[in-house]
Amino acid sequence: MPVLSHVPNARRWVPVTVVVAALLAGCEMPLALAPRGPAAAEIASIWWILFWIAVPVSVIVFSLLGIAIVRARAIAREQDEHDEHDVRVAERLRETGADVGLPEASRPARVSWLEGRTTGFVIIGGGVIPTLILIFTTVMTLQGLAVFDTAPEDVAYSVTARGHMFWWQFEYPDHGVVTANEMHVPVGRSVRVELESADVIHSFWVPQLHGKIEMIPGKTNVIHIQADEAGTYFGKCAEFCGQQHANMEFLVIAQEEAEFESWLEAQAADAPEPTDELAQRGRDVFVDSQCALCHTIRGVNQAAPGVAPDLTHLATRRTLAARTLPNVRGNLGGWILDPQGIKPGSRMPAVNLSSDEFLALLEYLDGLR
Amino acid sequence: MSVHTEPPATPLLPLYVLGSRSPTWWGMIGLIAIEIVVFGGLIAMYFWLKLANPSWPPEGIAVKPLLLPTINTVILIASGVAMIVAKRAIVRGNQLVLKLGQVVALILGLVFFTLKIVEYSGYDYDWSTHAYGSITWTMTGFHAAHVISVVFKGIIVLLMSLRGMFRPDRHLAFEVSTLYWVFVVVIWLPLYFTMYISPRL
Amino acid sequence: MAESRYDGYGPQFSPPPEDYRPDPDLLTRTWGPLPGIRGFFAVVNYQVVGMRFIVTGFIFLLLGGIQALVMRTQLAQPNLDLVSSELYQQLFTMHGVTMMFFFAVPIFEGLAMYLLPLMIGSRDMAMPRLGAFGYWIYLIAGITLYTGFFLGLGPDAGWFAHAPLSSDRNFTPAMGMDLWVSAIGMLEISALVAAIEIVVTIFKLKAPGMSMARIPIFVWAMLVMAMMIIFAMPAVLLVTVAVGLDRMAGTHFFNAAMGGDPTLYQHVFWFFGHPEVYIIFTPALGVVSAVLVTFARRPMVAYSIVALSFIAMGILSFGVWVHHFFAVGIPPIGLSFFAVASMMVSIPSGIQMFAFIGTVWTGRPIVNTPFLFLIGFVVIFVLGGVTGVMLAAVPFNWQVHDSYFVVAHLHYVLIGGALFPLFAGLYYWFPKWTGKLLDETLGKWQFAIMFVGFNVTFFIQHILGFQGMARRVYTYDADLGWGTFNMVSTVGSFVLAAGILVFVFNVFWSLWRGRDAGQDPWLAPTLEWSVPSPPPQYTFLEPPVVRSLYPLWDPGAPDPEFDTAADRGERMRPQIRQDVRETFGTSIMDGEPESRVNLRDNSLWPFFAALAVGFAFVGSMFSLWFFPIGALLFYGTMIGWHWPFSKEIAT
Ligand code: HEA
Ligand code: HEA
Ligand code: HEC
Ligand code: CUA
Ligand SMILES: [Cu+2]
Repeated sequence: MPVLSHVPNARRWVPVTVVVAALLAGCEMPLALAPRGPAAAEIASIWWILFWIAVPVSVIVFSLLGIAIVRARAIAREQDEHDEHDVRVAERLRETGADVGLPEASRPARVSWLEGRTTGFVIIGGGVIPTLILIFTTVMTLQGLAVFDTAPEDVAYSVTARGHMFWWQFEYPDHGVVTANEMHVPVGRSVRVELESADVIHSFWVPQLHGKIEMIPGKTNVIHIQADEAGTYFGKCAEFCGQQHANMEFLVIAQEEAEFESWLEAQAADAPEPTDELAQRGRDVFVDSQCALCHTIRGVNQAAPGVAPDLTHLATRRTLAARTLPNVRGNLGGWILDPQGIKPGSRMPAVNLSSDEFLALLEYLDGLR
Repeated sequence: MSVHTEPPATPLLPLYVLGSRSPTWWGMIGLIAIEIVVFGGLIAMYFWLKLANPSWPPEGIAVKPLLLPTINTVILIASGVAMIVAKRAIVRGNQLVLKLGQVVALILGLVFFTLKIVEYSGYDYDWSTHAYGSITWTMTGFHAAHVISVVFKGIIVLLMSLRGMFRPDRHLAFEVSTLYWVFVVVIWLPLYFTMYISPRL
Repeated sequence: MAESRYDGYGPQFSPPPEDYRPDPDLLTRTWGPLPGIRGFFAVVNYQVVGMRFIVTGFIFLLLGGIQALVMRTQLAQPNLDLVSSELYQQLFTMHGVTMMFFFAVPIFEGLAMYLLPLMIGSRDMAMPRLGAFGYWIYLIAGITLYTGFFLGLGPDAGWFAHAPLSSDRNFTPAMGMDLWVSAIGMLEISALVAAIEIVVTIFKLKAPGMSMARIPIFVWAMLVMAMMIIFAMPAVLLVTVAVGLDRMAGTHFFNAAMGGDPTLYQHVFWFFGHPEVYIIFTPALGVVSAVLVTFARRPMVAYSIVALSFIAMGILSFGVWVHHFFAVGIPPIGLSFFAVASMMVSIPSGIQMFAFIGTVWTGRPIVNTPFLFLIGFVVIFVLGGVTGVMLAAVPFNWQVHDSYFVVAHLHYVLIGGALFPLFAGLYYWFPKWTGKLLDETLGKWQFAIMFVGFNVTFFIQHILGFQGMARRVYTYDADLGWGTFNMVSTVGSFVLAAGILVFVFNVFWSLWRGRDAGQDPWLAPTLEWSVPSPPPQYTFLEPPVVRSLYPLWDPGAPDPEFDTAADRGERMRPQIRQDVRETFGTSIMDGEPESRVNLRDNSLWPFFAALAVGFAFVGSMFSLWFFPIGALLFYGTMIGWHWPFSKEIAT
């Protein structure tokens, strides 16, 4: 990873980071600050620098304000003790309920002499010093941008991620794989992700791997992600896209490369033939019902592309309906019977099935490994 | 000799003032500023959409013809000139030219509007054909609405001048309405450039 | 005194009456309202219109706050089912729209309307009927919006309604978004006319002697706010119209399939949207300055630098709009430019903060309720400001954009930068408006409750953002581990709301039982404290003249050597007639008296004109034909508005 060579920056901060974060959060690191890939690590390192600028800036400003109040009130008290007029004014003000201490003259006769006395303080403290700090943060931002602007040299795989109203389609064009709501990547390899949208704007966000980039109709955005550790990462649609924006989530599953390759191979295959009779009937139910209008099961039917998730290897997926439900048989059945109850506003209608048909269909779908 | 100096005689304050001394005039400047942003936004949207599309106007839509719109632009400019002439006239106290200028300007404004309709009814695409149609119809329509509204307003101001209400030192209503008229004329020029000239460059 | 109206040509120059003396009775008759119900709709007086803006704006704060509380309750625990997803999306849209458009902007416009004439020494705003018109449209827009909401047809695409979700009926079939188009359209008109009125008033109606270097900082802030409205709001008018056309007329501005471009929407909207947040923040700074000077009991330090920093902020804020959508895939050169600009826009704020601290430093501060709110303002706003700077660092922005980190930022700057200053201002001017002081003890409690509640609610949301909680989600799963922090945030929001309830109680209690304020309870420096509380309808018995920046602290010496504008104004005073609505018209820069300005009096036409506009906009939700009809009606009302077309209008 030559382009991201200064990522170890992040590690330098780790000790302090841990302490502060423990204080801040009182528990483990939130996802965005527990990066598992170079892009997210770069961002986290930027954050920690920003954070360590923000803390002293705020503390200094608050202290100045505090000192100003305490000091000026002390002066006021001291001066005012001798001045009868001021005591009268103080009484007058106290009538309003104000805690005035003992103010000195409240209506200074000629006040213009004060104008400009503290101009230097304002210009240097409020203008010059912040400008210097901001120049620093700007340079850091531009450096960070440069990092993201350079595409890694050894892109291993390419994925097209397509946002749909409330689910995700992932396509591996070089391998003939289409799947939904679950993106597999090889550990330690850079993957090129092309982001597209089928309807409205969505936003692709995997906090531990990369910042978010939007999926915009009529436009293709490209990012490179890489997971440094095997694992399952939480992904989320971040741009409001309609009623089920909340349940438009997905998983990124990082596997060792060999494992990943065999996953690709399995996914590229057509759907397995149903073995028992019930499942065979289930397949017929699927083909004859409305399901087949929207959903494709490769080797069985070909629905209009991009309307609904490809179900060819449905049973291999961990979740249903964009991470709304864990993929177990009971949930699958519940989803087919009442998608609108589970995910109101999703684009799948409830389909009328007799209980026989339903059981057969369930048996079939559950076997789509 | 007295040590006191008499304060200088206090001048009398006028009630009727023109131009930047009058709040109403500033109100009109404010309105014009707002409109400039709106028209500027439309033009920016036009060029943005142009950049976002591979061909502009899109395949199947011809570049707008130049002749009629150009004549029409000249007509609109002439109406603005007529208003300015009328404005100059009232400052000199010439009531006749004041009225004549306005009548000419109104007629030219209506001619402009009519030719606009003629031009647009000749196009075989509308706002729902393509984003190109959306933006050009909106730009024209919005401007045409302005022409119509200044004509309406102009009629009232003309009635006022027919009743002899304007004087060399008192014609704020007329001044302000001329200002707006001239704005509607001038703002047409960038629109004209955008829609008719820029696709040919 | 007989005539109360101009009879056509008034005399261009009228010599002062021989027996000039200020006549409160006559002035009251001249400036007073019409009787009865008609008077209610016809009144144009700035105090009435300004107070209507303030009260209505505050009601919208409560409504928006209640929506926020419902949202927070829904989010308190994972998978709660208090509101449906459908209602939730309407709730956050209504909350955002209410707070940004119907609370924050109008309430500060109201403050401006009520206070500008008092502060600059005029008897009314420059275009009283326009002000009344602006209020009526605002009210109609609000009623329209809320009627739709209560019918279950609230807008549901977020306050900034990104296309194509908002602009395509396939994605938002309900009428909510049409409602958004209409309501926002009307609101923009209201804000624009108010802005024009504010600018013209500040330009032309300053008291003799009040040069641009002598206007209170508050007036500078309002001037900058109004200018920003004039240059920013037309963009949102344009974009709402484009959305309306896409939905109603079948145009394709934002439809990528037909040559449109969804990102175009974001550019035009945020060209307005970023200045919008400063449109809210700048007047709040004006309030802060006014309150601060009084309670620090010393002049603002670096007056001219602060005024310049407002102007700089106003101008710079037009160059940073892209930072609201860094994530749409902008070329790096564009990202760099807008990142740099967004960082730069912080510098004026730094100057303002240090000027406030400097003023306290050189002052003799009195720490009472308004001052406490100022402290709260500095603390909260600075925290929000530094998270703003973080958000401007693009790669970091990609991580937290559209997450609760942004929700936290925006509430820190909006509540810290606008709501706290607003409360400071309300405590400060309430005695002027009502003649009663608000209760101090309650005020201090309110501050403490709000300060704690606020930070509990929103600080923790920064971390939620890091945890991956995107904004605008109606619920979340338990396994994400967001439950505890959300619960804390919810509890905090109820504490915050309790603070606001204390204020509501305080207002009613003080109106009933409050201490009398007298003319000038704070011994403040600006002109509004030189008249009784509440101010008479004619405002000033005699038009004031001004010789210094702080006229009540430092009256400034009349200088016979020089014929200053103030001296001349003093001598010309008797020329301002008392039997018609007249006030001084002065030059912009120097406050030289130039003319007598005749202000329009009470009239029902502004109300009718607003009805016509409402007819056009509300009707256009159903058919676009309502628009031309409404325009014609409006045209008719304009004739009535300017009637009589006597010689008077020909001026
Ligand atoms: C009152 C309103 C207000 C104010 C004043 C600000 C002020 C600032 N805002 Fe904020 N902002 C909003 C209201 C406001 N904002 C809202 C409502 C949104 C969200 C809209 C939505 O999506 O719904 C938003 C969103 C927003 C974003 C987009 C986030 C996203 O969606 O991804 C960004 C990004 O750059 C940003 C930046 C800034 C910056 C740099 C400032 C600066 O002006 C801040 C400057 C102030 C300071 C820095 C503090 C004082 C200075 C000092 C004490 C000097 C020393 C300081 C330093 C050296 C750092 N804001
Ligand atoms: C000035 C602006 C402003 C203000 C003051 C507030 C105030 C509050 N806001 Fe809001 N907020 C926004 C502007 C503002 N907000 C914007 C622009 C958005 C983005 C919207 C979008 O995404 O489109 C947003 C979004 C937003 C969200 C994110 C929603 C989401 O993304 O899903 C949340 C969630 O916690 C929230 C909470 C709150 C809370 C708890 C308050 C509290 O301060 C509220 C305090 C409580 C009250 C004011 C009520 C007090 C009254 C009573 C208790 C009743 C009394 C009744 C009578 C007397 C009759 N706001
Ligand atoms: C009108 C189109 C349509 C029809 C008909 C339809 N579906 Fe769906 N289906 C969808 C959409 C859209 C989704 C994605 C929903 C979401 O996640 O928001 C979906 C999701 C699913 C999922 C979850 C897929 C995943 O990867 O999480 C399953 C399983 C499913 N449908 C099965 C069925 C079955 C079985 C039928 C017939 C009885 C059916 N669908 C009929 C549109 C349809
Ligand atoms: Cu897709 Cu939010
Ligand atoms: Cu911004």
